[in-house]
Amino acid sequence: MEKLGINLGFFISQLVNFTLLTALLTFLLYKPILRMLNERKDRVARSLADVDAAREAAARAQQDYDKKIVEAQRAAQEIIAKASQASEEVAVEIRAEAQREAESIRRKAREEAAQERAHLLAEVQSQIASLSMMATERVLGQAVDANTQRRLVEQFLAEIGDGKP
Amino acid sequence: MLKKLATPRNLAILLLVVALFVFNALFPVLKVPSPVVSLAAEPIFHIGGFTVTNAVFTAWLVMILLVVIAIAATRRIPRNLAEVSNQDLAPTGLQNFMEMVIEYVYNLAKGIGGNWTARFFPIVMTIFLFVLFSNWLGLLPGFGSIGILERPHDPAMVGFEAQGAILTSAKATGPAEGGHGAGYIVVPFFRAPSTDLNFTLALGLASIALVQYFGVKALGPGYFKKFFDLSGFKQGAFMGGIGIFVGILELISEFARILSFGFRLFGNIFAGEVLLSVMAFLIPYIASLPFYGLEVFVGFIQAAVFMMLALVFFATATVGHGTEQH
Repeated sequence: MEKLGINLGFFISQLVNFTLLTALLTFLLYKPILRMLNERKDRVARSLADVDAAREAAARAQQDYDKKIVEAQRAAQEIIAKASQASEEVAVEIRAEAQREAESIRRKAREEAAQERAHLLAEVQSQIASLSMMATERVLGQAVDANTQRRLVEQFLAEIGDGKP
Repeated sequence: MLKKLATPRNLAILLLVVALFVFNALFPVLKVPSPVVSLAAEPIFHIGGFTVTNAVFTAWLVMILLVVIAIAATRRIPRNLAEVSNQDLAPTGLQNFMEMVIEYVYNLAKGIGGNWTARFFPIVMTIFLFVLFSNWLGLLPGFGSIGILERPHDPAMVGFEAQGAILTSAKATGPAEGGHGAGYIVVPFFRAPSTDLNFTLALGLASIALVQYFGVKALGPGYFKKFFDLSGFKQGAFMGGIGIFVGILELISEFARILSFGFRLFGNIFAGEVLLSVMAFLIPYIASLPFYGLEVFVGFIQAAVFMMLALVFFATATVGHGTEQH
């Protein structure tokens, strides 16, 4: 043992050296470095996850956007269709109204004309009656009983009226 | 290629080497003395009542060096890791290199140790770094060659003549005196800790002690069953006897591991240094160059082997012994 240099004191001092060095390096080297490595690993994993999430979100946004565009297009189409339908309806209504109005104007005119004619006719009749009475008076030279005369005239007029229309 | 090598600097170095050759041929003062191989580390000074050998001293240097490297490598790591920006996590230089080494060994420890990685890793990593630096430091010029001139402690040993502070290759002719041999030998200030059995056996013992510790920690008192296996007696006295015998073998192999740990490292590194000094003695220049390369390699391999074996022993201690799993 002496020749080999093995000596309890030196042996123990080397043991102490090793223990001390292990403790020192654990706190000075391994822990900080491993902490660093872990932190970096975590960050890389986290950022990769973030990238995935961002890509997913972008895809989702794109989908949403596409869907919205399609929807908007459909809505626009609908609005246009509705508007044209409404305008058509309005046009139809306006035309109907115009026709109705024209009809009523025409009817009124016709009625007025008819009234006018009836009126004129009545007037003409009464004039004819009085003229013929005067003529009869003149022809007969005497006044015919007013009642008889009126009866005769009316009878005559009725005959005319029956044949006329 | 040759043109690139022919820089003024390289030419100057070449000239210097040639000059050294010539100088050495003319004046044999610088002739390398035949190496004095000392298995034991030599005491170089005393602190209070404690004697400090060159190996212990160098072990301290290695520790200081490693601590300095550790501080330099972790200097730029921010304290509040969770809050700093991503740019602050980018490693540079030494930190990058240490991260690479540590991550590699950590993953290795994880592959073997599994759940126990957090406990195994600091120990095996320290073993690796401590042994590696011990091995490599011993290759530096000045290790084993710069030291105190002392008279040989063994009266039968013959030292060399010294000229001033330089030891010559001439054998001392003077008579031995006062229990010392004649002439002088160099007691180097620095000696790679790995070439001191105290260091290698201390590491071996620490490793095997930790193996027992991890074994008990993982398996409870049942761990010791592999040393004192009495379960065989249920199948008769013969099987019981075999169990006891196997237990004794296990016990012996556990102690043998300490020795194999210690002497493997010691033998490889010590032999390497002896090889280098012998080569330097035989052919002082250039010839030892390839052996330096070899020793750098051996130094790394031995550190890796020590680490791997410790790791594997730790790991096998934490999983149940073969007989329990049947």
